[in-house]
Amino acid sequence: MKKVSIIIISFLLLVFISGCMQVAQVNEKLIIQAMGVDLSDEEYIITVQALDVESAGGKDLVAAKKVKIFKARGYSIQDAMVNIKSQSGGKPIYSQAILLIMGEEIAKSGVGVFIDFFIRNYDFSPGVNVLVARGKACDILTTKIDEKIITAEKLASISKEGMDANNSVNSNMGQFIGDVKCENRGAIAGYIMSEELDEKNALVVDKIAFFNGDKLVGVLDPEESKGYLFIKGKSFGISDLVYSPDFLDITYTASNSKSKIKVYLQEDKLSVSIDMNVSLYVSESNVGVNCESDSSNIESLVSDRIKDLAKKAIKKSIIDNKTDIFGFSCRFLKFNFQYVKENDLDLVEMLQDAEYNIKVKTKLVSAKSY
Amino acid sequence: MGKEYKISPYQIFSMFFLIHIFTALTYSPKLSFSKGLWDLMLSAIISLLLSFVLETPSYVLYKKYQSCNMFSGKLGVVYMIIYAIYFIWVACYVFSLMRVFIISVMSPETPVILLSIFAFMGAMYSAHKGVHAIARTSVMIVFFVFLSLIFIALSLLPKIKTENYLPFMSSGAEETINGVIYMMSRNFSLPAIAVILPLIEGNKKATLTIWNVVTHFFSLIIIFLTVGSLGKYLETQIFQIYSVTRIAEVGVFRRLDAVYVATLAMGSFITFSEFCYFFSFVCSNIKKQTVKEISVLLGAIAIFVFGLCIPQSKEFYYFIFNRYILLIYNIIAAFILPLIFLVKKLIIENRSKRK
Repeated sequence: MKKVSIIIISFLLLVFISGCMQVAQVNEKLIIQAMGVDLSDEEYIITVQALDVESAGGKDLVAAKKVKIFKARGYSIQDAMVNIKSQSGGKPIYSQAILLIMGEEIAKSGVGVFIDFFIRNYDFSPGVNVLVARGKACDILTTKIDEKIITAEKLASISKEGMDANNSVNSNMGQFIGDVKCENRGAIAGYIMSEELDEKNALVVDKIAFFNGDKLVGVLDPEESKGYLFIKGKSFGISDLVYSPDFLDITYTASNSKSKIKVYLQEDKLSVSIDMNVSLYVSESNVGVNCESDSSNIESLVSDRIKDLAKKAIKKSIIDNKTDIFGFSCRFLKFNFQYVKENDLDLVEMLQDAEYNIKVKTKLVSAKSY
Repeated sequence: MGKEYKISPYQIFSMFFLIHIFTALTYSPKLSFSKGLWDLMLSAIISLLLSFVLETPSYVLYKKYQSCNMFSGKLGVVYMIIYAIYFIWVACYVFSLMRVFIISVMSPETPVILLSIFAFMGAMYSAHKGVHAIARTSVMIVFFVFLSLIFIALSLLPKIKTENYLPFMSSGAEETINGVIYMMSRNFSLPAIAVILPLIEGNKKATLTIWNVVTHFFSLIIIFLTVGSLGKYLETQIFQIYSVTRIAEVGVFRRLDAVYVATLAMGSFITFSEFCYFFSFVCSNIKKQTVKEISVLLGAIAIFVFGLCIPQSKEFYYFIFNRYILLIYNIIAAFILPLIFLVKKLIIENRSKRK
């Protein structure tokens, strides 16, 4: 009798708890891979890249994921998503989304208004990559190369590789929203743009968009972006070129970098000391350069170059745009919280007048050891 | 007291550890009234010290009078009612919180009523099987829970950003105080200790100390990793620990929230079973067989009905999850009642000595 009742209960469990009730078939679902958000005439335009489960199957699905594009307008994201639902006839599933792209205009006007949708949606993972598009997000999501739409997976991979596989710029939704909500720190996101190379489209992510509060205020160019990554001590694999009229042109690659940052008060003025230790190897050089005999010259040249890159990044974000994307304020706050509170200090303003002591120690390692 | 089974220190550690893990993993600012999580590091340390204080009367009581029974005599009936209601309350709390979690953040489409019915039936069956069955299951589950938590912790380590750690009490002491109230109100093991301490064999002092330190240490690690990984984003989330597991990944292993859900499901199931058992354990002291049977049945019905109703009714929800009421109840059940009984015992002993 016991066994019979266990079998009956197990059967019931199988039928009811496995979620087989009211279940939607895969072709009735809209499995979203990437979302683009744009603003036009005070309306949101949502572009969705979803898996095309109907046309892809078997070998086809394994060989190349096929995606469908849907686009809809709405007075809110939810409103636009309802329109997309009626277009596609599928129930939107956000749990498989890996990418969110914001158009430049909406990013400039402030992301605080619409980001709530992604916070409240239980299905939307905080691990989703966030990118800012030059121009419109829908243009990026509909970009075709060799007549094929670039899939969200490919886009995410481009954004990772674009900044030399560095993790610090791969801003995920959780970190991005956290930084937007943080008073003392600016949020960052990879800046994706479409470029034409030999009459072919190509997508590039070699810049960093940065936010003050919830508004996009600037974009670090590739050099400034490298400076940012060096300051953050996460520049594994960064390649850069050093020009020297007296000596030679060298392309070096950072194999390892660490940075120590100290922010302290000196005569009522903030001082920021940044000590970087970078291991590098020369990946290309003018013919005749001997890495062993010229190592000290190369190291000194690269040190100056990295210092210059770091200064450029600081100038662009802190001095020109009053946005601390490096976390200097947070570091100072950690140990001087009471002082800042009592004196009601504006740390970012103080950082604009701060003294920056940047020291870079480079070490040339052989290609073999790299 | 009914039949006396003895449980080993490791089994009791596992049982209480799972209760603590359930409360730690379902941390929610909606329940604690704290915005952030960082100041709860301090709360956890204070809570650790307070737990030792609250455990003391029970420990001293059972050390001095090993075979005493709090539920004997006229006062015992009052004790029985207080503890029985407390255990029903906590069982409903666990049951409904799991339902709230499923409905609001995990998967609203899940047929929760069916899930609840089967979870309830399973828990009742394990409670019926007795403390040994629950203790043995707890030991097994703790092993998997430990593995899962270590796995999640390791996967979160690379995600930590030191900038996310702000100074303690940056917005005053309110968050820490709220955290202490919250943690102490949800320290459900303390009243349970007061009831089942005589069942523990071996060194009770060492068992309680290790359990207390290890569980609070786990809380500290969980807070440290969660804040470091997601910073201010957490303030926007209802179940913060769940949110952080959604970004955890190690190599090809992604979406580790599934591991979290499994851990929570195992923890909540055992916690629920344990409180059903504690309730029936208290009722087992009723001498009249028919009253005993009816009380257990009524308790089971109450847990099931209230557990299903709580998430539906806002007023009921606010009442049963109210941290102040729970805190007071917790202090009464864990500290005051054993203390009164201890004082009573000491007075009787002194009187008999004088005679």
